Amino acid sequence: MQIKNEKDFWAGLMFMGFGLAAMIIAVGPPAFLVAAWKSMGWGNPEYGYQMGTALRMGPAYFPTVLGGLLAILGLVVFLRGLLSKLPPETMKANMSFGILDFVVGVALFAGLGYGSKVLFKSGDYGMLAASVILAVLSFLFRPKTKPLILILACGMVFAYLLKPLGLVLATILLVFVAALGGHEYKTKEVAILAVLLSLFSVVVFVHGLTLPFPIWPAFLQ
Amino acid sequence: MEILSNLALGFGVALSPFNLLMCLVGVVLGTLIGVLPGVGPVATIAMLLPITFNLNPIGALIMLAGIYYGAQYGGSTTAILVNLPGESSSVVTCLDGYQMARRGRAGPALATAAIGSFFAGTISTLVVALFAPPLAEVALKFGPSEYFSLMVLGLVAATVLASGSLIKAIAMVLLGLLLGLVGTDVNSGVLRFAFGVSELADGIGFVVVAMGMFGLAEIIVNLEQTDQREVFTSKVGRLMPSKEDFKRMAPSILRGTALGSALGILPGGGALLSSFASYTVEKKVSKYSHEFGKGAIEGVAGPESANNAGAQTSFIPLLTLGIPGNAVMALMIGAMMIQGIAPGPQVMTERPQLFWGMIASMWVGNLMLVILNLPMIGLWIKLLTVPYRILYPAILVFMCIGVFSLSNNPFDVLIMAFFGVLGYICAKLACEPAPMILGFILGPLMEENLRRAMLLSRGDPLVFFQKPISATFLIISIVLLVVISLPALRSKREQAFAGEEQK
Amino acid sequence: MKRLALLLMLAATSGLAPAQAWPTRPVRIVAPYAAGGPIDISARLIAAKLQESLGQPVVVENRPGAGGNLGVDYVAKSAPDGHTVVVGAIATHAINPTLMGSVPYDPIKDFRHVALMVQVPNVLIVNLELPAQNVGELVALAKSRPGRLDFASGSTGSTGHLAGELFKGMTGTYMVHIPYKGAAPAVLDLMAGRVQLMFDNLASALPNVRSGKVRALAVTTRARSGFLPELPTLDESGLRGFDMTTWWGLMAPGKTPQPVVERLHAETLKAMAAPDVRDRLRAMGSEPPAIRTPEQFTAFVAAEQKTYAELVRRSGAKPD
Repeated sequence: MQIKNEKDFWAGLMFMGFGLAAMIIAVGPPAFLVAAWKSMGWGNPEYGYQMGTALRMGPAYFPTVLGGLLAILGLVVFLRGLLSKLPPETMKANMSFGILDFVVGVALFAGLGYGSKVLFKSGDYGMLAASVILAVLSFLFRPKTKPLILILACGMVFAYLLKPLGLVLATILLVFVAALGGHEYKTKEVAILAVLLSLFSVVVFVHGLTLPFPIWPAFLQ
Repeated sequence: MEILSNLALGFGVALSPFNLLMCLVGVVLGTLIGVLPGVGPVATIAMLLPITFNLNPIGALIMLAGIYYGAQYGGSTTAILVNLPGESSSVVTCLDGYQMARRGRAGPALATAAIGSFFAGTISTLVVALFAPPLAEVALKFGPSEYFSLMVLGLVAATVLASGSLIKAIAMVLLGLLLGLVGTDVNSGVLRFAFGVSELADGIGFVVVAMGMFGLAEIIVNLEQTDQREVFTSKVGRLMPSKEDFKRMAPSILRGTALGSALGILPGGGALLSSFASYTVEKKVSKYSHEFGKGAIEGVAGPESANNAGAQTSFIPLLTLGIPGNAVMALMIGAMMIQGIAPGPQVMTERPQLFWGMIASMWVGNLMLVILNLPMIGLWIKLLTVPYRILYPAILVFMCIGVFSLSNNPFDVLIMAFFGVLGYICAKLACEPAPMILGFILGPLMEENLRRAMLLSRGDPLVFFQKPISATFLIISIVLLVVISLPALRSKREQAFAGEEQK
Repeated sequence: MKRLALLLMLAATSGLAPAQAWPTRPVRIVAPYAAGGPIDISARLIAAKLQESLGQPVVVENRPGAGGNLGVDYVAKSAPDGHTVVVGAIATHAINPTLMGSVPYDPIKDFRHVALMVQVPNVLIVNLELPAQNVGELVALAKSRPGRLDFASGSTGSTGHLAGELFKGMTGTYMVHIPYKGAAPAVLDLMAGRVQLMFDNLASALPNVRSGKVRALAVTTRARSGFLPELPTLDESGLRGFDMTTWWGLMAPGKTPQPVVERLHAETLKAMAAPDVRDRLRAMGSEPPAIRTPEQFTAFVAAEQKTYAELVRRSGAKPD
């Protein structure tokens, strides 16, 4: 079966995914999965919120209903994606990454974030590391994802390095990483922009709005 | 007429040099805050509260109120220029305002927003002055059943926000509803969908979602168009709306004002709905409905008027009942309490200068804003001629700082990144973010009201049809749903082709 | 030998030096709730005064979330040098530990309880149309209509909620709890008659009581309130031993040195005693608390935690 309408195909999958995830988180996985889990000797899985009745709704009620509706609509959209009679060219999704890349990205973040939380009590290092690794990987293997990855990475870099590095350095870093994500990178221009923006930010946000950001790196305090 | 003497008293207070200065400071600050994405009026008012301790109470409140609606004006500016909604009310302005800007019509868009807002501000101030007490009584009549039905109506209308596939729009609404449920459940105290992350205990913030879905996604998609160098057409058109523009925007402004004034009175989230409702009405009523989503001027005029009218009338529950309609109002109550003023029905009678002075200064503030903003349009247009490669890092800096400042936690930026990815995927898959955002805002409110209504009625679902106001809303919802789906079913094929979805 | 003596001297005085030198950088008061609420406002009032007396900037940093736990936890794990403190409240230190099953901090051991800032009672208010003029009539009414009366609260697990549960337990009545997101919408429904009663905190109830929009029946503290002296207490009205307040105060990380705690405590009390601060706190319904010293405060927090642990368990207010 050829995917006639790529956009609807993936949109449908996405909706079904969210809908089913909501239902599973709210009510718990279907019985056979629970049985499988138990048979692995992992004990009783903890899941779900109380459903309650239609009269006294528990916390699981609304999410389950919504999730179910979303999953059904997702199925409809998915089928439309398979069976649509329109010319496929207009329906291409043109995403810069494929499904495998997506899984790798998510796994990287989840894994490093969780690992860092367990090892260092804070997920921050893991997230930062994941962003950097993902950025490097995208440079090497998937150049088309450069804008996506770098724009996301610049935000992460800024957020996690603001406290240790201070506003000035974090902003300069942000601008550089962001500019690398574009396709017209001119070093001198970016450098001037970075300095100007960090100056502006310090004046407006710290002095003007008295936001509690450290201006200089922590080790200089 | 008593009203004239009250207004005279009010203007006497509002036009005193000190209060005028306070008003000016407030609206200028508010505009700046509104323009800076992420930093919202809540953070600003919180920071300025200590300063207000030492100020005369009337002056302090005038300034704080000025910040509030000044931020509405400023938020519209960023929505039009860079597709970043600073407030929930500016989301709708992004839809057509930004498209107008991309087509070189930023000037008329900004002017429309300013003019519409001013007109709406004037009318709604009069509404507040004339009808505050009776309207407050109306607000009291809205209980959980009425709110639920109103929100159902709002969500059905939300599907009109999308110019593409109806089914996907409904699905996006549902997705938004689900995402809005992340956090602590009001009725039971259970933490939902948080995966043990305590930062999610109060849910995902609107600003974070909006920045991600609208701001980040837009930038990423733009950067991927390596063939297209500039996002904004260099052919910058006129600064002011043309005569035809004026003719088209006038009825929208009137309708928007009416809707906003009506919805703003409801303390439980009415003002949020006003811009969305106005957009829906405009799209359905206009002969240019095919232009919606690509830069229809009615899509800016109506919602902008509605949200400003809503902002003004939401002072009614504050001043007459002491009930804050949103977080900013709650802060103002805090400011009042610091000053030793107990907000509530007695404010009108015990402190007429405060009450009427504030109302009069609302109009003065609107006047100042339109005088300030119209000339600035030239400046803003110049900004858009800056090459995009310089513009977007600046936007990113402000976004990141703004989001980080929300609770001084990098986690918020992480969530914004998540929504950036989601927004990118949705943009590529032709799923529109606006219905999702509305679902996101209304989801928790809907559920809260649904469950509370059921608790109060002891489990009787018919209560929604037994109460007259609630029943009315539900019936209108059903009718609207039918009206919306009919053309959709008929022209399913047309809709699919309507995608100049070149991405 | 001389070097050793020098080192020893430095070591000995290093315990003293920080206190006299403290603060050496800006002090942050973390308010674990959103800006504009009563906790945030009282923190800002104190901060302004502390800034003058300590000579360093004192900023309030809002870290809302998880009912206050996020901000409180953040400070519990911060450097104990006196530059980061938090406004801990009854919610974070007495109720949440039991209500939420567990919290990532120990409300007693992880904190120095520096100064109790505010203590406000709750007021039992009813809708005007309710045929009950005093607590006795209310109880009789509730008994005659089991399950027909609704009482509102600002959130599940709030003092308003738990006061209601305690009331039900002590009077043997059955009323339905309706939680809201904040006191304001709850009061709105109370005035409209959709719910019948509420145990609202004094600050938010006072204007409505004074303007006659709701009727007040009693206060939840053992002593009568100076703001509504004509109101009997629940203790007087037959619920013996009923004594609930909402409170919050300044706290520092557990290992903060004693001299720093003492200086902070002294300065905070001075700030609270300043006439303008005192007046503004009074406007919020708070009278200067009787608990003055850090030791009393710690004992108070411990006692409250035990009380509410029991209350929460009995009421079944645990998330289901």
